[in-house]
Amino acid sequence: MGQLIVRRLIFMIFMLIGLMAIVFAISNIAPGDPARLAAGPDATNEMVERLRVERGLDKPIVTRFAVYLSNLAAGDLGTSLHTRRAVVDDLARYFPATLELVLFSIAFAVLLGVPLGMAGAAFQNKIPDHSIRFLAVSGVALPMFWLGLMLQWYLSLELDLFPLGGRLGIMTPRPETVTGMLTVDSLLSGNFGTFQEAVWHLVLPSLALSLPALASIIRVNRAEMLETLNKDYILNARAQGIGPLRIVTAYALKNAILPTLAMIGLRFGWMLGGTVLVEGVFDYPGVGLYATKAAVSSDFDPIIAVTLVLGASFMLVNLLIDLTYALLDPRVRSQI
Amino acid sequence: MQPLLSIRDLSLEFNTFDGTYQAIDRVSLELNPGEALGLVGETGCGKSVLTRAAFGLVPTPPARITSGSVLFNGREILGLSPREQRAMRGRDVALIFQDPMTFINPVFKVGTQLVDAIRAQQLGKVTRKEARDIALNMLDKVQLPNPVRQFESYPHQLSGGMRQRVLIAMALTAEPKLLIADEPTTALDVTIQAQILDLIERLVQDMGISLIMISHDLGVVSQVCSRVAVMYAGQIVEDAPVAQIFDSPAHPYTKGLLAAVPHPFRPEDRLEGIPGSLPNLYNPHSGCRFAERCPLAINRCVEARVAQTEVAPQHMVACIACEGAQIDA
Ligand SMILES: Nc1ncnc2c1ncn2[C@@H]1O[C@H](COP(=O)(O)OP(=O)(O)O)[C@@H](O)[C@H]1O
Ligand code: SF4
Ligand SMILES: [Mg+2]
Repeated sequence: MGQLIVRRLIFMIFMLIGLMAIVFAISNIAPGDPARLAAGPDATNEMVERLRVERGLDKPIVTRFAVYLSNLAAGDLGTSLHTRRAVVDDLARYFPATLELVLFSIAFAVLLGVPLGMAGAAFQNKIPDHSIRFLAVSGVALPMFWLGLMLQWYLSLELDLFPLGGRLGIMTPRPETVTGMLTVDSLLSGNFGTFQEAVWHLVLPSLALSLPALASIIRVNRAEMLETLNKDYILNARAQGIGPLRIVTAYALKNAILPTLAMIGLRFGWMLGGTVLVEGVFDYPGVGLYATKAAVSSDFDPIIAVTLVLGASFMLVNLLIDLTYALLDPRVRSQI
Repeated sequence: MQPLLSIRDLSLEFNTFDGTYQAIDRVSLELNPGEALGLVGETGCGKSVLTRAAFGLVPTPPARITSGSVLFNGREILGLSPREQRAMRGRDVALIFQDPMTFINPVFKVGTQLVDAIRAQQLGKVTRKEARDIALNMLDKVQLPNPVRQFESYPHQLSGGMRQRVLIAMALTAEPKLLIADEPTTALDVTIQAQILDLIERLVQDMGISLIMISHDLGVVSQVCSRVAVMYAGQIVEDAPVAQIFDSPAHPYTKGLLAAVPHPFRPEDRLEGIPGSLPNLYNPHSGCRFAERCPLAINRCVEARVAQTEVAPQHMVACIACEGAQIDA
């Protein structure tokens, strides 16, 4: 098991280097002269050229990529043009916010989606099943961006139930930064008022981010449960007189959840990408919004860095999912 | 003597996309306490559906029981609530199935499944610890080598024969009154088949359990059972003591089945089967369902329902050619 994890982590590093190479290449083909942008609008040609040499922008792309990698190894991801800070510092500030949002969203989608899918299968073709399927179908059909706007317009502007955006109200005291996730930090410092408000700010963006995932988790888990409930070992369990609750929530679910896990991993990746849209709608200061702002000002170092952390998160989560798979399925475990 | 199980006129149909499939048609079957009955017939004739439906194990829908009654120890069990039916299963009637590979849950330990089954059979009146002791004791009785280790194993770590022993142990811990063994050896290696059959026979005798042994193999049935019911396309066509079935089969289908039993002196490729296949039961005519394959068929066979007649003591046949005939036992 330990060996598997090490092997996968090494493989991940190579995948990430590949990912960076692609993003690096794309950002170099993109229009705009990075040296001129960095020097600012008032700079003379001479100043631009000097900066070009200073930053190594006159070197061939392969050399620059090698330099980038060695800087990365030293913990330097470059400087952001629009925040004028080291990208590493920006990430330390914005990434926890995005992580908090995505973890909230995936937890919501899984904790609601799996039981609903299970209930749909257990009550196949009865009223609960029909309502759950309605939810699942509409959730899949709605685009995240539009959903975010609608939630914001109705639940925030019209009904004033939730804040419009951001992570906390202006007057709310910030907890001391430990993880950078406001809900965790406020709990750690025992500040429940701030905790409540942080959760309140998370509700709408989480909903926008998680509804499509919720819908597909419900659909996959319901279908898998239905198939599993027809399996021979379920008939045997029924023949022993084992009750329906235990059969559905243990005997069937532990088998049906295995294919659902793959969908959860996939949806986590979609959510990471979705933060770029949803954080924009809710003015939520995470890496998605950071990357959007960087993109409009042709600020490439942050874009590459954000791609890197999102890619790494996605790969880590998939590793985690594979480990969970092994934990749940003894046949998989015996093969590794 | 009151029969242990008495199925009367049971009919069941499946509602499918293609229409209504009349899988079981007015089947009557009786089993006395301590008796071992063989239920034979080719694959798809309804053996599994019949025995499962009697104990509420065929999902409705798609199935629907359209007529009949099932008495267990004199009590009607068809109308019981799901909870009452569940209380009977494992306690009064136990089932073991064909394929030990698919009938055991792959992601739970053998021990967990045994303990769950035992606690369900004892209606939750035993602790997990007590259930574990019962399970280990039972694993010993089914001659599973190294019970403590197998208890902690996952199913994929056991061979097919070992898993079938586990499933037999699971079925019999509560010493049920009736065991339905649904082709328990069909999926096993030939060398293991005899061992498992012996084991079932011995346990059933030791515990005084009545047995319905389902098989498409008359050889298996002749070894274990005292009586045989032959099923064809959802109906019982012949029901007789084992010796009668072998010595003087009456129904043309039974005769065909017997001819298909491999014989040591008959070369493998000369195995006489019954030409044709099971009829489709979406809109069966009311006459004999075997008519399309029967060498003796006459017009009258398909015109009306063929009633059962007693051709010898305890020997019932549903065939026009046998009406009025008497066979010397
Ligand atoms: N869920 C179902 N839906 C429709 N038809 C079914 C279903 N289950 C069984 N059948 C049909 O009932 C018939 C009897 O099946 P079965 O009892 O399994 O046969 P056997 O056990 O004798 O091989 C078969 O023709 C099968 O196709
Ligand atoms: S009733 Fe007729 S068709 Fe059916 S088995 Fe007898 S002779 Fe054959
Ligand atoms: Mg069968």
